[in-house]
Amino acid sequence: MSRRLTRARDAAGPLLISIIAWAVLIYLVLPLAVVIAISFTTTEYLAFPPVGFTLRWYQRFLADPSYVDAILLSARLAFGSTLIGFVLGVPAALVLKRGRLPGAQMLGNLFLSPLILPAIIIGVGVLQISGALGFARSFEAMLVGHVVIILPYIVRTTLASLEGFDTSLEEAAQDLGASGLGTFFLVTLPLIKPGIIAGCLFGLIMSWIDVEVSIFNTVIAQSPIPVKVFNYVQYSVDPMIAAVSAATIYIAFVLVLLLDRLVGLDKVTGQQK
Amino acid sequence: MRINRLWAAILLGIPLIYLIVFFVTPLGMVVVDSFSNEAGELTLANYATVLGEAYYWRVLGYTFWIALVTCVATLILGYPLAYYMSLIERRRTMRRLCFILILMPLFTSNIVRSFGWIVLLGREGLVNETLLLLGIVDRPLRLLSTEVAIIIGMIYVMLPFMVLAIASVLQNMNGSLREASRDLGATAFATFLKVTLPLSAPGIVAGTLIVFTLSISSYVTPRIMSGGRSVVSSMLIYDQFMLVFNPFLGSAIAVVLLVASFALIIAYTLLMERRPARGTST
Amino acid sequence: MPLIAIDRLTKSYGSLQVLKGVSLDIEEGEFVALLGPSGCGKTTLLRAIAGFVDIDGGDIAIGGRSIAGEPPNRRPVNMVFQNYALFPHLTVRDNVAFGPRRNGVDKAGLAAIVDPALETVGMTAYADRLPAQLSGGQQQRVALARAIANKPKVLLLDEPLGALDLKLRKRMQMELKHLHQKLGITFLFVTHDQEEALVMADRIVVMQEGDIAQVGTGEDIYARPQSRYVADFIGEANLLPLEAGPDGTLRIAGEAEPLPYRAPAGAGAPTLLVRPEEIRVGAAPAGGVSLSGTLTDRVFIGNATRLFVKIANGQSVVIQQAGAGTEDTLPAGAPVRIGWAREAARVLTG
Repeated sequence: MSRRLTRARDAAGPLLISIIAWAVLIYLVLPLAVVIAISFTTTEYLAFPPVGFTLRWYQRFLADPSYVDAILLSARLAFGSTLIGFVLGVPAALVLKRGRLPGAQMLGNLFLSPLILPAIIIGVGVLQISGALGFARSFEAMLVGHVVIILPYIVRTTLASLEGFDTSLEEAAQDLGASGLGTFFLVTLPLIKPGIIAGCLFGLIMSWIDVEVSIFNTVIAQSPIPVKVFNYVQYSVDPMIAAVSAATIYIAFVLVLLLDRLVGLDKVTGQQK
Repeated sequence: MRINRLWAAILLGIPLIYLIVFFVTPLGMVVVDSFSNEAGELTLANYATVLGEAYYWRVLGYTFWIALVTCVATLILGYPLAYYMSLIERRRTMRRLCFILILMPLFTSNIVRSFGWIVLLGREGLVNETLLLLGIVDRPLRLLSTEVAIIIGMIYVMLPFMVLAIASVLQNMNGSLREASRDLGATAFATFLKVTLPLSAPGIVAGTLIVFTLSISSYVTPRIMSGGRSVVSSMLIYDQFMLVFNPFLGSAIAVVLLVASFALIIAYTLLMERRPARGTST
Repeated sequence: MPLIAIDRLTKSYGSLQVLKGVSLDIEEGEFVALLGPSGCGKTTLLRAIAGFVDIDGGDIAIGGRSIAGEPPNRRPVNMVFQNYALFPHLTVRDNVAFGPRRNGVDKAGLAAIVDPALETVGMTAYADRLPAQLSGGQQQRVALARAIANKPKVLLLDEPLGALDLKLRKRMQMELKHLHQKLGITFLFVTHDQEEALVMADRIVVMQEGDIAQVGTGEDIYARPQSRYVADFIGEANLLPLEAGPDGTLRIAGEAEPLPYRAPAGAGAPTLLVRPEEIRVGAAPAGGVSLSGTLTDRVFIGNATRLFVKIANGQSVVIQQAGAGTEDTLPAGAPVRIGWAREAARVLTG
């Protein structure tokens, strides 16, 4: 083959790849962009491209206490379950990594296993146990279930940040006079903080967008926002539900930026499901 | 840092108790329920129903079929994107933009994402409009509530997982390996085929596993995209628990789904581990 | 009373015994090097003193007080870590202030400790930088400043120059030596580099497989090694196996001439140690030892010339001549006589 042809082929490869890549990226944002766009339409029905521009639908859903309540409920659930997940997950990861326990590997797998179990089965399970314990279909039941699904994210990122941890830093701290607890708060915690933050942010999001666990453990009058949207969309779609949906997309955007700011997006890529 | 035994027991014990009470026990209850009936007796009747009736087999088969198609499609679409991100490693802003575009859908509820597709796939949606405009069809297609819609929606939901799994492997790959391959006379294409692709195998395995596992248990997307018909196992589970109020049959379906998916995952993992050593071919 | 008294220290990891009853006394103000190849137990010994290794048996006392059960943060020693272990999230100043802060030094007191410490290592200008913004040599200095800020009784150094390039390493060797003189603190230094030990230490402890092989000044160990192991580890050595005759005379294996040495009382097989720079081309002075051989290679290494001579038993003997080696003009392959003065060689039995 001639050299020029080889060159041309070598250049064509990356070009083709970038075209496919951007097509895929557009595929990824298109539905979100559409939801946002139609939330501004002046028509009473879903119109794409939107007709005119209005904030009416946002005003309408914000004036509806059931939506505001649903958002607040979701927020309480997300922050509550993340807080519990943090309190349970970070110490667990520390002991698993540092405790020199027999069977730490197996216990670690137990902590990560909710990741590979169908969320719907976790939802069913929580319904059963909360029924047995007498708090079926309540905020507490959802909270308990959300903790189960987000705990793996927090445990895993904490484990991962302890994995590459240079233990001589902790030895140095002790050598210089810090106690065990002092070493943890002065050296270990500041250094594994990005991993913990990433895990907590992921946990927060997983709770915020969950439908499968919540749907088994809630009642119509008290639904988190994704469940509320889900129940609505199954029967009808209109610009107001687009506005509600768009609002959750804005929140996702804020969280992505926050993650980028606090941890760096490059670093979290290896840490999803 | 050393942790003394008492503290270790407390710090690990509490989370462990939590998991046992709210994760292990509930799963045990589901399993026990699957062998029970309303009268509280042990029975195999639920399994007789699930495994004996063609309907349940059909739904289970369809669940796995959708998961398989989703898996293959996300791999085909996701790999080029992941590869592209490894090519633009030095262009930080561009890379960051890619990450944002990939994470945005991931951070949005499945329901909102499916909602977007309802609009796009509607009779007067963007997809039909485009097809009409290009003259590919002469009247709008019925896309919503079809298999195509379910698969498009599933691919959409699962794609970020696949891209991130492969990208994380590609981004850790030693770039000098590719340079060495070019230096030794391989074309860019041969380098990709003989070096990059084999080395990214762990990412492909991880990605397909994640997508497959999440797909078989997916509930929201098939529910919305199918227009409410119960087509996959997770929907049957929901129906049994929440509409028919037969948690016993629902539990049996859940256990069958779980066992079947574990069996497939284990078989797949073993298959991948037993592949002959690479590098012996031409 | 010695400052550090290490008494029959033992430590095992599973079935591997890394310290086999090590005893060592170190006087106040000494600069001692623990020298040996990797796996000889030198780092374990250092870490046992610092408190990072739980010892199985024996005792460590500093200033007459046993510290064996004390946690690292209560021991009057500080360490310069192999990779420096600077806290990446703290500035240079905060790294150095870390120790004094733990000891409850107040704000005013901190400046009085941190500033001179940084001054001592010449890092005052970098006080507000983060470790990642410093070069390897600068990080090394900060690690030193941090370790001395606590005014330890003993400064422990774990291969602190290992990560530096050759030039910088040589400079830091002299700087460490000067720092030791200036501070008057006892330095205990782990290295696998014999030259580093020779340059810096007042006393060298050569370690071998969890035990001490020999302790002495650099000169002592170089000139009077007690075993083949030590002779080979410190400097370059020609080690020639000897055969003892029934009358107690010694011969180099393959040579007919008896040597003017007697086998010292010792169980091991005798070996003759001759340093390369002690051997000359030509016949030995009266009372010395002469051998015949074939010149196989001649290598010029800048400040010296090295000759490789194959002797009768097939062994290659290395000769190092100062300068360009103009004493002879023999080509490779030529037969050659070599020799050394009687007192230039030493019979080893260990």
